[in-house]
Amino acid sequence: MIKKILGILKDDGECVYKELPNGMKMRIEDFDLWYGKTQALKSVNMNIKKNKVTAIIGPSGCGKSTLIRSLNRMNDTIPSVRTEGQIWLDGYDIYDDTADCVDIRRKIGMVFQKPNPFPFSIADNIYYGCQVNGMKVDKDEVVKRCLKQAAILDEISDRLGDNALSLSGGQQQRLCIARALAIEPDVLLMDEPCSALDPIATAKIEDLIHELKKDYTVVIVTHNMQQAARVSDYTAYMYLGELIEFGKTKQIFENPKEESTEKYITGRFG
Amino acid sequence: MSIRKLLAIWIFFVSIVVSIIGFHSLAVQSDIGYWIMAGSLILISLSCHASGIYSYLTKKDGKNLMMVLYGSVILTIASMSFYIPDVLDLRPWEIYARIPDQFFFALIMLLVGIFTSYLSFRPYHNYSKEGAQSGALYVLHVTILLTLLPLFIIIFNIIFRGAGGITYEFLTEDIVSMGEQGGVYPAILGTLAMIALTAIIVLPLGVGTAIYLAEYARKGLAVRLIRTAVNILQGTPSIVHGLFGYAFFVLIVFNGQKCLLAGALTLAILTLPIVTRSAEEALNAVPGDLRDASLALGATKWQTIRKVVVPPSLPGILTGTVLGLGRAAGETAPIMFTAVYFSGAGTPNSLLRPIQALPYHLLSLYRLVGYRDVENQAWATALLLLIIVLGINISAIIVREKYRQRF
Amino acid sequence: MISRKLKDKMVHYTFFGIATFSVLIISFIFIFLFVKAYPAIDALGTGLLSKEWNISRNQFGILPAIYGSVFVAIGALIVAVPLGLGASIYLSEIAPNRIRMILKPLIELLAGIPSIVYGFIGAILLGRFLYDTFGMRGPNSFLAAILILGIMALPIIVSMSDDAMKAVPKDLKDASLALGATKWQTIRKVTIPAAISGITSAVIMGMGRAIGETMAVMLIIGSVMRMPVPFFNVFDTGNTLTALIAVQMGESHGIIINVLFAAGIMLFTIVAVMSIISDYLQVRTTEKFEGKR
Repeated sequence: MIKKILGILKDDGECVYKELPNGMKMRIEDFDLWYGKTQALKSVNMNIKKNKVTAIIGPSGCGKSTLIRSLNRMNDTIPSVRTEGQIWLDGYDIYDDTADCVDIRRKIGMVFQKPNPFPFSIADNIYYGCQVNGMKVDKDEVVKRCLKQAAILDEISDRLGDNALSLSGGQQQRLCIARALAIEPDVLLMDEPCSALDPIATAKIEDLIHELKKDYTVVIVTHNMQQAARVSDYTAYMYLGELIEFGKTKQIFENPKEESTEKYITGRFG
Repeated sequence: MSIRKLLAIWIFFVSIVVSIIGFHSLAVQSDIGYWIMAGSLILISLSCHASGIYSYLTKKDGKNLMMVLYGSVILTIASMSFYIPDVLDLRPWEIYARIPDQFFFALIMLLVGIFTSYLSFRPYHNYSKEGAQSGALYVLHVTILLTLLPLFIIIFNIIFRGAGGITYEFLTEDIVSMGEQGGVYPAILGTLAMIALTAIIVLPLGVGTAIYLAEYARKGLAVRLIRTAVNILQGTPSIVHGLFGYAFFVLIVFNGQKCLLAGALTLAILTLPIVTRSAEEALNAVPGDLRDASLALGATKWQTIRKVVVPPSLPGILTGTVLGLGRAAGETAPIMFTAVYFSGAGTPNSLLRPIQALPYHLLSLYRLVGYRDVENQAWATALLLLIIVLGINISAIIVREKYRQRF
Repeated sequence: MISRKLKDKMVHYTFFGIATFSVLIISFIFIFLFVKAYPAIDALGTGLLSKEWNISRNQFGILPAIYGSVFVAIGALIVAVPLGLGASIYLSEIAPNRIRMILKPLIELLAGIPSIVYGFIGAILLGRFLYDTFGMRGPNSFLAAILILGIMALPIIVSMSDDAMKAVPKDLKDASLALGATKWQTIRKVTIPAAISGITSAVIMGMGRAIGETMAVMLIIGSVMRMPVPFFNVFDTGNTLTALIAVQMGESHGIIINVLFAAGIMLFTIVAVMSIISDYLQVRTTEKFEGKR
């Protein structure tokens, strides 16, 4: 019964259920990933707490984007990707053979590095997710609610029929967040959501992340350490495909245990 | 402006005039005569000498003597041309052709003119690398003009010789007395019916293949095979399509009966790779971000393709299809063994009956030129065919330019 | 109701099915040409590749036609390649965007003119022109075919080389310009070498078009089944594989039909090999700049 409610697993699939400790939303366990022959993730272990913001930082090429794309199986779209290990969501392994990535992605929304609205109207962009998932909802209401949650409704409430590409970069990115919220996910993944934006738009998105964590579990990849310090509750530091250190943001930034983390945080390399 | 530059400009204009005279007399086969040719070459030659010697006297740079050397070469050519016989008869060498001296004179003027005008950029830019550059750019301009020249000659001739033949009668009647009178009404309808049918057959196949290749295909033997097949199909000569259509569709499928459907099937095979390739290109132009965004919202692959990928690429897909159909409308070889008669087929009324078609009509009329008085009708048919085919192509190009998607 | 995941799978297989059609068609073409050609191959053997063609003596050597096809194709390249390269360099590197937007469609229109129209113009205008100028036996000649095919191969060569040169990353050209090279030096030393495999592929495709072209050639080649004498004689008449098939198909019966199918196989094979080579070169160009995953 629970399986069906979660909607993660095929109705008849026999699957392993593993109770996660209280307050934990996702758990990555001994996770490896290869692109062809190159290993991009090496035995990553990590916990993601419910209703908290978890940031992943590290120098470019360290595998942080790969890791976040693994959390909703977006890497399945790249040929030649191979994985080992488990990622648990509410006690179910999303890499289990019986799991279906389409349903997983419905539970775990994602916002990408570059704003990528569809070339539809703003309202259709929001409604798209409900439509493809067959959710019976009132379009106007969903559009208003999501835009409001993404703190963009006031700016664009009179242009809902306009093409989404006519918005500014920062507005586009908040629209993409609103779009991800429309399908009512449990987890929201953000892959460097501010890297293409100016400081003002970035500040707005950071405020938004604070608001969002009341209702959602947020995982954010960022190359900006100040941003990680500002928005996150937990921080993971990655280097060359390995998770070097994971802990409360305060501890990571003020008192890192690993030398490598300290070097990166103090800006001595990266 | 220095004397050096003025001399260079002078050489440039004289050579342009000389090459135009040469081209003109080549095209209309008029005789310029030896002395006019030699005179113009001597004029160019003296100008080159003057330019080279002047530069040498002012700059004392050895490379300026290049123009002097070249001037002497032209002078030699001019005097050597004196020995060109009135008619170069190739028959003693078993080649049945006679080349008149006027041809050589015109050719020499054309080539020397173009080369000297190219060369004149060097003294103008004082033999620097900019000189080499402007000279090369000048030659490129000449090549693009020469490339487009046939287009203008063909269109100009067809319009002027064909326009008179397009009358109301020509457009609305069937052939009368082997094409001397009457018109091409059934052939117009036949061609239109054929490409409409071709479109219906090829669209699902071509777009389907493109969607598979662009969206589903991963690396593997099957995909490599499909791609190779599409490429080979694209290069396959249309006469081979005709042979296959005859051997398979006519002889086996339709019991030896030439018919509209056999022709349309053959043309569908001909256009399949064109549609596939342009559709694939259009699908690939949709950025991967949009696919990711849709998949991340829990859409299935098919939902993503249908709602996110296909709509913005529709103009591209349609353009490719229409271009393919434009090609099909003008093809003769694939339909001549599979679908068409010159006369007697009438307006198309059944998929299983032969038809008349414009390209084949033009071929048949050409074969009658010299035996019957059909040349005017042939030009009119050529014009009509050109209007239909280029009309299709132009509309496709306009659609493409107008709806070109920018992400 | 089928679940949408099952539907997704079914859609996948449907598209795969559609995509295999091309493979199916290619194999069908080859099989049916071969089946129809077999009687001739069986009866004539290597006689098929001799240069004797004499219907009353039952000799059907298609060598003159093969030679003619290659001859006109090479001739057409000699006409088209210098012009086509110049034009494509102009289009891709020099022409201001406004002019490019006009010229590129014009060249595509040149490619869109039906081949029967080229043939008609070639026979009526070019054939008579050459006849008047050079006083040959008649208006038909290899020269006329070569010139017309050269014109027909031009747009392919221009637009494919243009694509190849446009694919060279701008950074590369900028780097050269920033080092003080002129635009022309950059074109010669950076752009053309970088695009060379794409340009080669364009030339091969142009040659493929010239070999495969039927209607334009059959009206001006003369359709005489013998080798030109001497072998480079552009003023002579002759035949090509395509013209042989197109002309004879309508008026022959019996074993000649099978011989024509054998000629078709010959043609198909030549052109297929050329498109495979050309495609390989094109893929290499893209891989060079886009990197391999």
